[in-house]
Amino acid sequence: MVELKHITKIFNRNRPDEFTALEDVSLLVEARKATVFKGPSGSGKTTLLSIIGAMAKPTSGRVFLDGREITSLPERFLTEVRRRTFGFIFQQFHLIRGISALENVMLPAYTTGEKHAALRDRALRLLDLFGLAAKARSRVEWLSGGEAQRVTIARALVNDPAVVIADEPTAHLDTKLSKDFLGIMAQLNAEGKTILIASHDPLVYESALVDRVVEMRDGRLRGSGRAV
Amino acid sequence: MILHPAVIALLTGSLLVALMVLYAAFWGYKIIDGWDLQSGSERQLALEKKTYLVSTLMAYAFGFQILSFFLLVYVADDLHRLFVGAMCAAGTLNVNEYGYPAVVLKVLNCLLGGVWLILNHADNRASDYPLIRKKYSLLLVIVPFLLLETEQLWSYFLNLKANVITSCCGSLFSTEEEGVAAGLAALPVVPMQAAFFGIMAVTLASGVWFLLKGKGGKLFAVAGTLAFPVSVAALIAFISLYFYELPTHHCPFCILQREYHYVGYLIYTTLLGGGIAGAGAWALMSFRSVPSLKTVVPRIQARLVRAGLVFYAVLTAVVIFRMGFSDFVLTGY
Repeated sequence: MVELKHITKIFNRNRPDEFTALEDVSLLVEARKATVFKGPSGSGKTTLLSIIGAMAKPTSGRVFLDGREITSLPERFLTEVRRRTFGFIFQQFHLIRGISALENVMLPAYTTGEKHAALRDRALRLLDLFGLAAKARSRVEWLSGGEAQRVTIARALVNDPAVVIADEPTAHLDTKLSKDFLGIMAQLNAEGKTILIASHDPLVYESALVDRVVEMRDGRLRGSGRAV
Repeated sequence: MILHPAVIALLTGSLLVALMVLYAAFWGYKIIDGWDLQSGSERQLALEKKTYLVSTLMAYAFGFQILSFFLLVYVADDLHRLFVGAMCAAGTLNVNEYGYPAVVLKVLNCLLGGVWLILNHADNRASDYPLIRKKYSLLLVIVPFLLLETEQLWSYFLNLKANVITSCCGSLFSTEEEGVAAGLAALPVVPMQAAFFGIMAVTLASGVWFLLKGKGGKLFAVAGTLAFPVSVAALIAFISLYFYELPTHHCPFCILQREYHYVGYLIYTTLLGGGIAGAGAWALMSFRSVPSLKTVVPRIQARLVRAGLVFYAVLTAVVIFRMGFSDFVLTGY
């Protein structure tokens, strides 16, 4: 369970280009549910996901993960929380070109010190799960958009996180690939993972997978979020 | 002022350290005054971010501070050729009234800075900043000493006049003279030998006991800290005599020279290292029961004990080797 208390995020504080991305956001995100953050571009969805995922710190307010306050944690502890708890799927994929799909999937787990052979086996199983076993040794720049998307999902899952965070995951996908992606998310959700998605794609927030839609505008929540 | 590269480095470095420490003290005061981990206020989150910057700055500042001690004694030794009467760093430091206070303050600040770095290291290993107020309170205690050292160092180098006739170490550390240096030189040899080897035996034995049984940490911490001043006094009172093979030459600086294979640098390193390890272990002793430090402090203390053991064992070995294999016999003095 993730709880946000009075989260405000201001970029470039006290500068002429000061921008308030989030303003006094308080929210309870239930574990093992699929929650979608819906809103227009610039509404603060990505910033909110970054703060929930411990990739950014708020200007004020606190985030609690299963009752443990995480915003005050020094970076060395935050890294561990990030690595163990969250898996990230980015809009732009952020795969590393020049190395294979398999190496991209293994990369987030290198710092755990796990044995290379065990890690490779797990990464291969994940790629196989998403129908990419044959592409494991292909460089990522040779993959199609859908294949690259599935590699990012495999990479997000390599550390077996409790929470999967996806930021505009269908922005570059056609309808079929978007539905495939939602199918994978539904499967992960059924396995007990918490799914958090930022999207303004109706295909996503109207999907049967979604338990709750939280609407955002101008850095604020609109209502308390409708349960679907 | 003498434009020696090391002098310029020391002055620039000391000024930068002073500025960094002042900046850190400003934020340290704000942290002591307004730290509230329960609060999610903008001020609290800003302080949490700022403490990383301050602790990084201080790591570099105190790191330089420790290294700069060796640079200071090196330059003081190197410049002795410019001053009539000086035979080593002792004479150079005596050219004006700021030299010795600058060295003493630098040693003091090295020890305090080392302890601060150890507290900071322990604090950074816990998730809830358990030592945040204590380490910044210590920083506020160190600041006046560091600023005074900077002032003394600048006064010393700015007032270095090459036409000054200074005293040599033979007269400064003579048992016939008056003052602290002469007083240390005049300390009786046999009791000082007993004190030196006694404190080293207690330090080394308690350190080994702690590593083997997990007990005796406090004894090591106290003995390891006291071993520093005792060793400094012993260095002047009798250890130096064995290096010079002269019963009247008590200078702690001539051993920095080539004739003595620069052994002074090794002795100073072991002394400072042992002193910081002992004092650091002592400083951490009362935090062993802090919940978030319960596993952290014993690990750091074990590392400090290992470091202290190595430093003091090397020092003791060097002294025993010199006493045992020198033709010089001190009996009768």
